[in-house]
Amino acid sequence: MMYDVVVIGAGLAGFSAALAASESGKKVIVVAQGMGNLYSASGYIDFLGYYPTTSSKPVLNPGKALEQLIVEKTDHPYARIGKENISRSFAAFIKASREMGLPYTGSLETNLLMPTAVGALVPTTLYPQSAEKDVVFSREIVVVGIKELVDFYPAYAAENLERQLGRKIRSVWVDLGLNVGRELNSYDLALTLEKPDIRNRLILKLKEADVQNKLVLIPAVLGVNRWQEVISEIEEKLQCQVLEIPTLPPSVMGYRLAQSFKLYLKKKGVEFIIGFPVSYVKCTDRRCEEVGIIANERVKKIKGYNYCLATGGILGEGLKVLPDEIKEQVFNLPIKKSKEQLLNDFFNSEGQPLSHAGVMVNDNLQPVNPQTQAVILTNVFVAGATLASYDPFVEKSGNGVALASGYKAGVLAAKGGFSDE
Amino acid sequence: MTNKVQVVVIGGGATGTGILRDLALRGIDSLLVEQNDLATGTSGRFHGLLHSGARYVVKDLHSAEECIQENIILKEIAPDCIEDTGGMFIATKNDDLSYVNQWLEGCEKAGINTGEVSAQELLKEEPALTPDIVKAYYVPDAAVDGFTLAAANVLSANKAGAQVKTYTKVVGFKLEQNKVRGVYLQNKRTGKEELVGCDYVINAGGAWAGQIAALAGQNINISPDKGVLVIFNHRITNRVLNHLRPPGDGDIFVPHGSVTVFGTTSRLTSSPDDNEATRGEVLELLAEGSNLVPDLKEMRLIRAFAGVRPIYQPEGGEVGREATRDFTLIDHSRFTGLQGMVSVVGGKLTTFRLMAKVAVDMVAGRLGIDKPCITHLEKIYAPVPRNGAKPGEYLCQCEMVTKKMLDQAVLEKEQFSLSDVRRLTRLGMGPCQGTFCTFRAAGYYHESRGLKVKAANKLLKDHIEERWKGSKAVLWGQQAQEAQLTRGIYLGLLNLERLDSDRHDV
Ligand SMILES: Cc1cc2nc3c(=O)[nH]c(=O)nc-3n(C[C@H](O)[C@H](O)[C@H](O)COP(=O)(O)OP(=O)(O)OC[C@H]3O[C@@H](n4cnc5c(N)ncnc54)[C@H](O)[C@@H]3O)c2cc1C
Ligand SMILES: Cc1cc2nc3c(=O)[nH]c(=O)nc-3n(C[C@H](O)[C@H](O)[C@H](O)COP(=O)(O)OP(=O)(O)OC[C@H]3O[C@@H](n4cnc5c(N)ncnc54)[C@H](O)[C@@H]3O)c2cc1C
Repeated sequence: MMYDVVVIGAGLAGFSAALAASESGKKVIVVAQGMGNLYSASGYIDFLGYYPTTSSKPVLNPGKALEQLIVEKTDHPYARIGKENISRSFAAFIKASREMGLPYTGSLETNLLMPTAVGALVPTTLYPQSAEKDVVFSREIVVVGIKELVDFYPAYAAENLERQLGRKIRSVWVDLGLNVGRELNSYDLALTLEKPDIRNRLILKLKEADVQNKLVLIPAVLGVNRWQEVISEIEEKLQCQVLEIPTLPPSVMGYRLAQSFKLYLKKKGVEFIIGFPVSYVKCTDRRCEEVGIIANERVKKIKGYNYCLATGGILGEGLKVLPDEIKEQVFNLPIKKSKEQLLNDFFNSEGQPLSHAGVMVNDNLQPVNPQTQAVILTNVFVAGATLASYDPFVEKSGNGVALASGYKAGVLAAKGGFSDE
Repeated sequence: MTNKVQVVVIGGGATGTGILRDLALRGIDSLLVEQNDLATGTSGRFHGLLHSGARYVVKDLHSAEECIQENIILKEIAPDCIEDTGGMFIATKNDDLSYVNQWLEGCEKAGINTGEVSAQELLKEEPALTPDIVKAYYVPDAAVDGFTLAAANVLSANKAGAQVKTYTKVVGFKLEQNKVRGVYLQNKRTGKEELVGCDYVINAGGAWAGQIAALAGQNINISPDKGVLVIFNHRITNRVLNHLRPPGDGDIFVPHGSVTVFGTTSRLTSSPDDNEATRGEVLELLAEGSNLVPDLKEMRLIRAFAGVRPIYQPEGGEVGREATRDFTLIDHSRFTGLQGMVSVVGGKLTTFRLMAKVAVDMVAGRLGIDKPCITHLEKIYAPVPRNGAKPGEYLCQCEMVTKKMLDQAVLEKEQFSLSDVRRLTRLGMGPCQGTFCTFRAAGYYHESRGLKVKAANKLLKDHIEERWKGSKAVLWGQQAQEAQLTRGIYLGLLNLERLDSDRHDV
């Protein structure tokens, strides 16, 4: 069996590549060691939140800031992707999200400020429609914590929000009386809240907290699969608006996106093999011929015309950090990294050199030698956190880069027929 | 608060807190001052081994004898501070076997029980060990928690009426007619200075003892000697593991809670404050340790740090030295005629109680008090006990820290950092190194202590910074991944860096 496109990695970058390739009617397979980072991340797709990263003011128009970045930071993945492709990926994702039943919304011309679990405001570009609520302009806000959840402290979040918004914000605890005898994480609690009786208990408690006509900020635990139903039931019964706040991992909002996206791709005919790292590759004449995984003690080979490498960088295990070098795990591609290792200050807004390390690519997202710029593999297209020269965490660009680079990699891999250009 | 006491003890490590307790139990009115929190000097930056003495039997039998005596006493009086893991010594096929016989003889002389165990049997219980074991013996080593120990000493001393000032630095002495009359103290948080009068000062400043003595014009010739230690994210062995060879670098593994502390090295350094471990030092250690634990380089490191030993070189021969071979009690009156001050240097954490006894025997004698030492007779207790909590109450699942423990840890504190809390509870010391529990603790204290939000933000940021600094020298493999996860959470997800917080301490 010969695939048109083999995608390595099942994070947002890999999914986005698979989406683009399958849109052009190609035969696509996704091979991945594990589930991507969406299960930890917020589920919001941030494109560019701060530029320059040392600026204290959030980017309000990401499209404009991206244009500036593309001119000024020529090594940045966004410069390799280009504004037009960023817009294309944005539109394609919104369309796909509607079809997958998890409609996202947003505009490349505006960042929305979303409250985080500490009560900071973070600029984000693409978010579920159910989260399209404006904290800055809404009249009255109530922050709700759930006693059973150890990962959210409503008074703490409320007081930080208060300082930023310059007005009083109320906070309450609700106790669901679950008595489960262990700490619940967000995912556990979200599963529990799908049960009608527990959900009713929450609604009752919220009612006591007097939330009518208010914007309720609550940790994102309102259901794993049936959250839309849960949210609209609360909103209708209590005549309020509900905005979920992403929690510390495991992230229910990220889980929803990952699950829906994967199911959608399956329906489009994309195949999946998840659970094994690609541990074998065969390359000749600067082309990848086949890759392989070891399953049940046997090598299973997967052959394709073109490949997308979307292995998630250090966090996704696509890059392995050793005491004196960094290794790309699938093709052993050379790594671009700076001499200095780490900055002293964890919160340094210039970003960490460790994050900037990665695979350097040309405008076709083909991997190149960082010294000579020569293309190393002509039918491999690199996307997501394995790319060099950006720090998603200070820029707030992680999922944005993953989505846009994945999409472009998928488009190029579907087109094929590349040499060095 | 009175501003006159009989004795001022300088230094809140094992030695100083042990001295304070001994003084208090003899009814002597005393005050301890410590420039930071308790056990933030070498007593918080050490290996955590309650020596059986077996390590020293060949080179220094006397010191080995002191260790085993104290080992037995401390297991009895300080069970909250000790995990009685037991220990083992192993020699591999690359080691000199003639040393084994010398070692066995020494253990016999010192009165340290050893039990031989076959390689085969030991490997069943400790599968991480090298299969190249030729000889292996059990010894009564144990793990000791220096933070809890210092705090438990203080709790016992407090009950007997002694006082303690932390975050208070000795900045000078009041001297009259070549006699110490008092100490000048500076509160590190407010900058305020005060004078506390006293009849005697006991300098238990460890590696800083020379600097302290210099404030009274005294010269103690101390060279700081740095030892590097690393922490792995799991218990590699269940017992303390020692390399059966002449003591050298990288031959001890000590299991603590959910982690393992491995080290150490010995290098002269320029300052007692040099407590950073470098990547190079860590790699050298790992190379050594791989002889005992072959997979060591694959295991996840979560932290590296260093502690500083004071190497004391007496000047002018043995004058003024009331000493065992392991530690030294310096009576300054015998050097320079300065009355009212003694300094205690050297020793091990294991022998802190004995050192305290020797020092207090002398000082009590000078003060005309003839009460005997009773510190070996009464138990000491952790101020924050780890009583089995009900499920559902843990804020830190790695080290099983409950909300109640967080309350107890700050009960009598007006101001605190999460590092202060960590030392009393082990919050953030486990495999996740505070990635999850730091956020929870900040949120919890914000509400329970009614903190202003900028103060809560500072608690959170400072602790994340502190954990980050400790992991910098070992950021590879899974720990590099963990670092990115932590950045993902605090920068990517929470956007914490953009929030205002109280100013960082200088
Ligand atoms: C806690 C946290 C919160 C975040 N919050 C946000 C946020 O709010 N907004 C935002 O925009 N970004 C956020 N990010 C950043 C964002 O999640 C990442 O930048 C982005 O998800 C990276 O996507 P990716 O597809 O490149 O990698 P990943 O999602 O990590 O996927 C990598 C995939 O490759 C697979 N893989 C790796 N090696 C191999 C191999 N050898 N063989 C086969 N498969 C392999 C992995 O198993 C995985 O499936 C956050 C990150 C973290 C950690
Ligand atoms: C790497 C290493 C590993 C070790 N491992 C072990 C082991 O496994 N087992 C064992 O038994 N022993 C071990 N030791 C030895 C043991 O740690 C020390 O002997 C012991 O901790 C010393 O305690 P101390 O109270 O004398 O000194 P410290 O704990 O250093 O206390 C001195 C205190 O004085 C304070 N101070 C300094 N200046 C001032 C001032 N001007 N005003 C107020 N306060 C001041 C400091 O802040 C400090 O807290 C190890 C030592 C090192 C370096």
